[in-house]
Amino acid sequence: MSRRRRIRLVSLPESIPAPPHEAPELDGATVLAAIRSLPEAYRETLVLRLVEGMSGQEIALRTGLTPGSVRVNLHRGMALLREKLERLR
Amino acid sequence: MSRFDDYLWDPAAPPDERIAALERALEPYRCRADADHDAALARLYDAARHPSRRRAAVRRALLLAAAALAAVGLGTTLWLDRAAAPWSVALQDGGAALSGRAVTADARMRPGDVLATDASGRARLAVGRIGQVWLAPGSELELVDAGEASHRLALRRGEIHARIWAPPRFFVVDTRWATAIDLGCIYTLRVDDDGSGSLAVLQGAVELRAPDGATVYVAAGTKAHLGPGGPGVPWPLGSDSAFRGAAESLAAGSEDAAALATLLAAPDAQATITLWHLLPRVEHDTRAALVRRIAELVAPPPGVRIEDVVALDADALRAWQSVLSAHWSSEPDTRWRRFLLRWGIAKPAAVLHMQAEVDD
Repeated sequence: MSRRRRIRLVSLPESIPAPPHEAPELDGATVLAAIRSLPEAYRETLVLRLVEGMSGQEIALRTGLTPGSVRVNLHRGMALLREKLERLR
Repeated sequence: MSRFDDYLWDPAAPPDERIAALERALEPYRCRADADHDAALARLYDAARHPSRRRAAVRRALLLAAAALAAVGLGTTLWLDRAAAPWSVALQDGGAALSGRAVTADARMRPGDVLATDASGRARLAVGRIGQVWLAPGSELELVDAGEASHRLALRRGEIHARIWAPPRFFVVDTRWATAIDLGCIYTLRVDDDGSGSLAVLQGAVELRAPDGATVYVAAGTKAHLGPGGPGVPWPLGSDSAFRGAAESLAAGSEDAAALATLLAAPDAQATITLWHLLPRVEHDTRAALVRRIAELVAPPPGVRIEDVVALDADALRAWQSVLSAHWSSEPDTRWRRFLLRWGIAKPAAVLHMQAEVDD
């Protein structure tokens, strides 16, 4: 039963860097962090559009929001996201 | 409507470079949602764990995949429209109770609720709007937090199969000996009555965090045990029992030369996930041998010195791990592969490795 013996562990680095991209123009982890700092409605909509690649119609069906609300969230969320990323540059 | 507006609404429209640049940056995190395909994955995984039911389960999975393909012809909105409401519970088989009361058709889970399936019960939980969790028979799952900052569950016993489409670290599952932090997208977590268990990742990756803060990175196609010592070292699902045994032996503190020799014969770059996670758990000489073998399989990036890694220098570890982790997933990350997986035309490599492990 030696495998159940309690041992002291040393932490490996906490953050796992994003997988490398052939021609990185923006850092994915930075963009994700910026999205995570947005209000929930914008965050969810932008993740589904920018990360998962869904269309506005698909997002509306998936989330139960109206297409109009999704369109508003996409536009306002994108505006906020671009502002945040501009400040980080 | 501008090109920007059109493309923001519809990815099939002519691309706007400002949005496309964001998509390219976020592409490594992509994992398209597809409830039918997820159910097929869950059944394939279940079949791999329980060989006697494999054939029937694979048949069901193939039927589901065929149904998904048929849905394409009829219009994808048919199945997208069936998206479950946030935190709704659907009983799929047998019996289940929500905080002591039988699950009804309109059941909703709230923080503090415990969902429990009986010996034949299977249930599906909508995780807010970010994913789904399938609960296996004989399981107990508590909803701890459904807030804006994170969604948190606690698996007291049994097994869940989770499919999440959310930013990394947003979805978390506590167990007795470790916390599973979702880095996207599909995994199965099991907890036995004594609190020990295992985590197998089918797509994406999961971080396991021990109560003392130690972390283990479990990539797609790898699996790790949970126990009183915290998370064990992960190993590729396709690795043989000798390799797994050697890893567990060294992780438990043994300095067995035969076990080390087995690990030093690690066959490929994916196996470095096991060697890498052993580094902080073994003595200096053993660590140095493991580091040399890792370097043979995946060279360290410029500026990272072997002696610094052997000394567990945090910067050197971080730099090399950023290169190594790209080799740990069994799933080739290409658009074509994602297309095949999305429509059920191909099985995830992790599922195939899981079946090979059962056959082993």
